[in-house]
Amino acid sequence: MTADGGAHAATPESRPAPAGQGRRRVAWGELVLGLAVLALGVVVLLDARSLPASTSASGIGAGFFPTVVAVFTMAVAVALILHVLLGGRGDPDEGEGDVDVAVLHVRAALVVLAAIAWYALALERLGYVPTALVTFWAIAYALGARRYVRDFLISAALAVVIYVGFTQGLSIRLPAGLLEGVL
Amino acid sequence: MESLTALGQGFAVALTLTNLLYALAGTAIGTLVGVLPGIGPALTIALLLPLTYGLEPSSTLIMFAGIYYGAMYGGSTTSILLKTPGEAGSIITAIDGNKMARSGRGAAALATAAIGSFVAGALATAALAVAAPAIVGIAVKLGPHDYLALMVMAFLTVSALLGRSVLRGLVSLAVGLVIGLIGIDFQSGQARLDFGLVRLLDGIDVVLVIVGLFAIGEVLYVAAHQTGAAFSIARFSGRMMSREDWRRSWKPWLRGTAIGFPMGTIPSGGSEIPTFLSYSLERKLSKHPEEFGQGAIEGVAGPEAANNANAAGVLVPLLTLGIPTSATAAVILVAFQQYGIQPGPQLLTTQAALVWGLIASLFVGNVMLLLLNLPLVRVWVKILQIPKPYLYAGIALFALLGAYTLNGSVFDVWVMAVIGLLGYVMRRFGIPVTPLIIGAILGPLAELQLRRALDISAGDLGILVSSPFSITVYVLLVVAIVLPRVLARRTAARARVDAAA
Repeated sequence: MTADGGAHAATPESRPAPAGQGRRRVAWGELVLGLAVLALGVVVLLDARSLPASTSASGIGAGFFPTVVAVFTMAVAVALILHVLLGGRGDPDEGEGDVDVAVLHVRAALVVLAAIAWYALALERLGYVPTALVTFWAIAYALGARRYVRDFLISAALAVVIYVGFTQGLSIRLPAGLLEGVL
Repeated sequence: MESLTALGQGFAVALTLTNLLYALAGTAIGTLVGVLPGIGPALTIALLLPLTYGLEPSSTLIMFAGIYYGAMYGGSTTSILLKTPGEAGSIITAIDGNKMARSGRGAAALATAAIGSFVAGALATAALAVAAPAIVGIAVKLGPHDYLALMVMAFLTVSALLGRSVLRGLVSLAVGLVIGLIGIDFQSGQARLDFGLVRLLDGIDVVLVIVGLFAIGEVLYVAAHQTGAAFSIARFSGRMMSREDWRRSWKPWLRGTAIGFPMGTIPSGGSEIPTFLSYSLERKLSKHPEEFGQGAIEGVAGPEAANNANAAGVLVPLLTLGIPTSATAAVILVAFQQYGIQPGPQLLTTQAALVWGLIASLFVGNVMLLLLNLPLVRVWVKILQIPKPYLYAGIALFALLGAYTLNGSVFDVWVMAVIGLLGYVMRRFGIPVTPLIIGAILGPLAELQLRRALDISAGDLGILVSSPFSITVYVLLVVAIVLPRVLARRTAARARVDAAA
């Protein structure tokens, strides 16, 4: 995950400094992002070149459009890299309220990621209810919930309600896992 | 009039008891989810897609019509009370709406937003019913190179007009186009960018992209950078609209509609520009321009009407040309595609009952929303009392549920996790997400048109600019990129100066 690695490695450097000051420093995060996009363009180009030639009327096959996309991607990536090197910065999203990129909770973000990974790993092994329970509990914890018993009860109730509602109410299959035959 | 008869038949579909119930369910759920902070209409619809897997197409689309308008209503409530717009079209509403709420006029702000949305929704839906058949008349005469021109226009306007940086919009578009390439090529059967993973041969589902970017990306972003574990909510207080408020609101409603609808019908990239334009127009016409930024009711009424009229306008290119010009339209397109229906010029003839049923449901849903929202707004506001950690954990849980139920596969959960990380990075560095979504969904369609055109011309690229229509589109494109940018910059700069003052 180049993009992710870049974000984590670079966040401390790219804190928005007060106007004027810091603008001259290199924004590593965005630079890595630009390089990642450039790499993406190269991958697409190599993949497009590896496709066999076309047999269609136009002589244009599966590789033509990807080549166009690859060139476009590399061009905007280079433009972004130059832009960042010349001091350009993106404005972090402010649409959500109560968010400030000068504050960084690395652990909270990692807990969220771990909770998602847990969901993917455990879902078909343990079943929906225990998996979702832990996922909700962990993400709520990451975002600041600290009334553990109440958090647990709500997680459990939500997981059961979703499971029953989807499997019984909407006939959408979810893995039963440990609770096979119980719910 | 032909479209009037067709619309009548549409109402016959929409007004059956079952479909009325679906419309009611859609509007209620749409408002409910739309009220949740940080969830815009696109994510609302994407999250609610699993609910409709078991339904038949007409009921599904009727429910979506309700969800679409409901999410728009709900979104304005959050912007006003919490100042968390969640999507570009509500940013302007949040400025004066939140100021009004904080000075004890929250009820009036919510009322002018709701009634303005109703007025705009009704007028714009009527305009949609008139415009759609007219545009189909033109659309059937267009060749593949003309469609390609329209799609290029959609790509570039969406990328260039959203957000503050054209370059970042184009970066987002490029990544979206790459995502759209993944999977088996429809014409030659060649696997592209599959990296040996069988699961990638079908491509990446756009729903995963949308929910991953909006939901997972946002949860990560808030977890990493939140400043407090609670929202600061403006109290819901004050009287509903006074006579004075009505007097000051009705003209902005109409003017907002007049700006919002046409700008939605052309592929002009989202609702940000029309809401900005409406705001600056109202301030120019106001006798009290100094109130703007401090809680001017016109600054809520106009942009909210523009936003809703724009939402209806966006359906015109979607239904008649199959071209989505906003993230929300992209999700609706996905919903169509899930039933094997490809929107385009043929849709109005082959699926007339479906389309007119949808349009009629928009009218019905709009009325329901007004009835649902004015008296019940206090109930919806209660939803904002959900503690922030539970809210975001719930968003993540529903997103993950949606990822799994899409194909009953854990692989999709992993894909969503990766896209969620991408969504975080994009938010962090100010890269807009809508161009990516448009690129991912429209890229394959553009490639189809491009190859059709080149097959006709035996590989001669000249065909791409061979018709007056395509030449006109490319010329307009140049104008469209330059002109609104200048306008929006002026408006945005002024709005920011005002907000700072």
